[in-house]
Amino acid sequence: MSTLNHDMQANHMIFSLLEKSKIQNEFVLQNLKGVYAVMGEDGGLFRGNMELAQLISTPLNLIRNKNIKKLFNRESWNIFNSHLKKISTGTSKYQAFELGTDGLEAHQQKNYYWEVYPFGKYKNQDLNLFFILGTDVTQLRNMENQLNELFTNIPLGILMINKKGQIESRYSAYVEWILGTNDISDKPINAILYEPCRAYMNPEELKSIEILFSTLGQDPSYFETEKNKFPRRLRYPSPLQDEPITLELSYYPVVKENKIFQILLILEDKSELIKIQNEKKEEKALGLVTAKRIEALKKCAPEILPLAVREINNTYQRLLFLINGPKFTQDVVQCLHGLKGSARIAGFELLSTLCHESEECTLRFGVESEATQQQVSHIVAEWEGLLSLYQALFEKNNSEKDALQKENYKRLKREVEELNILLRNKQNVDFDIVQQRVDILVFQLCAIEWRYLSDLKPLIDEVVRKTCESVQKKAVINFVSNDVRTNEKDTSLFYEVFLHLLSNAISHGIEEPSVRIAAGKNEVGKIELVLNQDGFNIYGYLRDDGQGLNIEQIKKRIIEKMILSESELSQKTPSEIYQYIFHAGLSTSKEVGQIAGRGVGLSAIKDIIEQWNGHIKVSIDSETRGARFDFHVCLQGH
Amino acid sequence: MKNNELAEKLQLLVQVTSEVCLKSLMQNSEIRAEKSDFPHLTPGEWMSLILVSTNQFRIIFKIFFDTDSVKTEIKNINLSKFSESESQNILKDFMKEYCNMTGGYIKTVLDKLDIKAGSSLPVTILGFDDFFFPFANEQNSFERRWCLKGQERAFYCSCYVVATETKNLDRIMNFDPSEIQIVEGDMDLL
Repeated sequence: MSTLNHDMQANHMIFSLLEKSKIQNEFVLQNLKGVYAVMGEDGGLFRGNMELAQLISTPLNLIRNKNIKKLFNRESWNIFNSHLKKISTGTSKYQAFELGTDGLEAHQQKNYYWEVYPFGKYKNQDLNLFFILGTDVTQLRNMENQLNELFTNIPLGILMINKKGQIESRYSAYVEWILGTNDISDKPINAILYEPCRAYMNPEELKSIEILFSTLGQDPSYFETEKNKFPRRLRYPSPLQDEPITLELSYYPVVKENKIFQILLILEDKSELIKIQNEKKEEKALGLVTAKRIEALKKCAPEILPLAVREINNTYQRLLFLINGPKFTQDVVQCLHGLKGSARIAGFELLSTLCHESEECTLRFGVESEATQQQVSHIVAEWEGLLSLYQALFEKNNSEKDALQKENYKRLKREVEELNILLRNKQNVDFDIVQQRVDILVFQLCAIEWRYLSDLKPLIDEVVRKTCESVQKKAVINFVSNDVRTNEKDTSLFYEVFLHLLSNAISHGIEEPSVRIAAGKNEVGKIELVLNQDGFNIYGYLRDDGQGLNIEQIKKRIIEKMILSESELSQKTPSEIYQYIFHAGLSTSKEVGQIAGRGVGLSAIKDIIEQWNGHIKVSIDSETRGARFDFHVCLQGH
Repeated sequence: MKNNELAEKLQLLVQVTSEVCLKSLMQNSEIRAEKSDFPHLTPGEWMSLILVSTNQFRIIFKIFFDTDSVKTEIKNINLSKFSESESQNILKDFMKEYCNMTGGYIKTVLDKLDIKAGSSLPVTILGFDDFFFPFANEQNSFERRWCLKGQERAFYCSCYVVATETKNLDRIMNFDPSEIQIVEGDMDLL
């Protein structure tokens, strides 16, 4: 074989290899994922790959006769073409953009990220060719949309704070909902989020905002050490909500070149959770309160409890009437004073304390004040709680009492019916008999709810016992009620009168045991409460064997309180002077205590008795040399 | 003699040769050469080409084709026993051989006219690759385009001539390309 032939053979082999290699490369290009094409400015294709052939529904070998315009609608093609023009005019050497194949059927449409490069001019013709690559980003966009949807719907406010302390443009839609404002992009986070919360922040929390901003641009380790000082919980007055919402904040640093570049802030509306937590706390507290109330009810002696509850409830109802009605401060104070005493005797310490505080509040700010109303609301809550527990756990079956009441009503009904028949017989009416029967009827009606004041004896004993215990004195009471009866309301008022009189006697009259012994008296003081009834008239007195009345002290207080001038006072007899102890606010006690000291008790007694058209007088008992209170009331017409 | 006159003569030689060779190789007497521009800048998926070179000029003959068109017009090859990809390769090789034959005949004619010529090996590449080939400037390089029409399909061809020297080429100017004939059985293909 000649040298020429060898050369030919060698060249042939090299050519064959190159051809094979080229065909392989073509195969790779044809099957390249995404779109690959060479095209003219008018969209005419010179070559392309399988994906493009599929998109324009043509066999690959015929793709050179097709036009890529088919993939796009008119507007999209104009966009595509504008990118080609930027290259052909030399404005740009490369273009990258995203465009959907919206010229295809809906189910075929995809999103592509197009990259366009110049390919050169076709020979001597004025035809620019472009080399294009299209990456299918449909799935990516779908996932992005899903993420966006998640980002939008997730109930978290997610935003980025940049180095200038401004909110970056990308933030979750929930941020706007939480903050009740929109278009917060590029706005300072301080003005948008922290500033409106200032009113609810303490100085330490205010400083925490400065600490947060100080970490921007700093070392990440600085962020780590300071992050616990950042504002973590804010009360934010959202324009969309009536109440400020509670936001919980989390901060995450975005580090670039080892510096805090941005801070990722996550806002969470915790208002509901806090509300539930508070409710649970309240529930727990209520549980404790309930336990304490049950304990107080249990502590009270069983024979005292029903009476105490009854009397407290009567006074409480009166308090409600006064609070919701005319609102005279003095009346309310006196009622609170009575309630306080009753509660104390029953052993309801919290109720007693609340009454004491309310009394003080009412005296200082008046009955109309918000503080007083607030205090009274505490009393209401406490007593309603105690009462419902008492009714549920301690109240006995009233069936016996109910049966008696029913029998009484039957009897009264019969009486009224007989009277009715009598009056219908107009010719033979004996008005004297009718009058007699009406009087009996009225009496029987009243009698249905009348109570013997002797029912109060266990309570009266408890008043003495408890009061003595409180002031560390010793005393016994002799309560003689002589079958005196009054209705429910009057019984309660009498209890209040006795309560104040007894408290006063023990606090101010009866001496301490050592003093009594030194004075040659029995260390146990004696108190006598005697009642008598004549129809609607009730007479009574209470006397003790204590130290009596200190006329000098009373005079001093009268002057101090400017009730009388010294000259006026000098014209008064001792008996007249004694009566000033019923004057509101005049107490001879040096200290104000829960039992006595404000001069409310005796003034309350006088007011109650005067409501009954009665009177009360204080004097020195001639026998015991202690104080003696004589009173008379007339219940008729009251 | 001017460059363009030489080029035109040579192009005509190539055109006639291309027609005669294809007719013979495909055993398709219907094939006719017609002067025609390309309907598209890339008138075939594939392109087979061969270079014939002398001291005075260079000729590049290119024929654009789709394998489908070749399959339609060819009369002497039964491809039924081959797979699609095998058939494709056979058809591409066929066209490469056709180029080789055309180049060989041009060389023979030139030889008879006392012009010593060499030819390259034929290659089949993508029709699109024509983009990378030089184009005519009408001073010393010229291009002629025509098509070889069969019964159903057409094959577009081009002849690119670069003329560098026109001296001592009088014989070629007096040559009539229509004299070219192919002796039967002078080919051994497949």
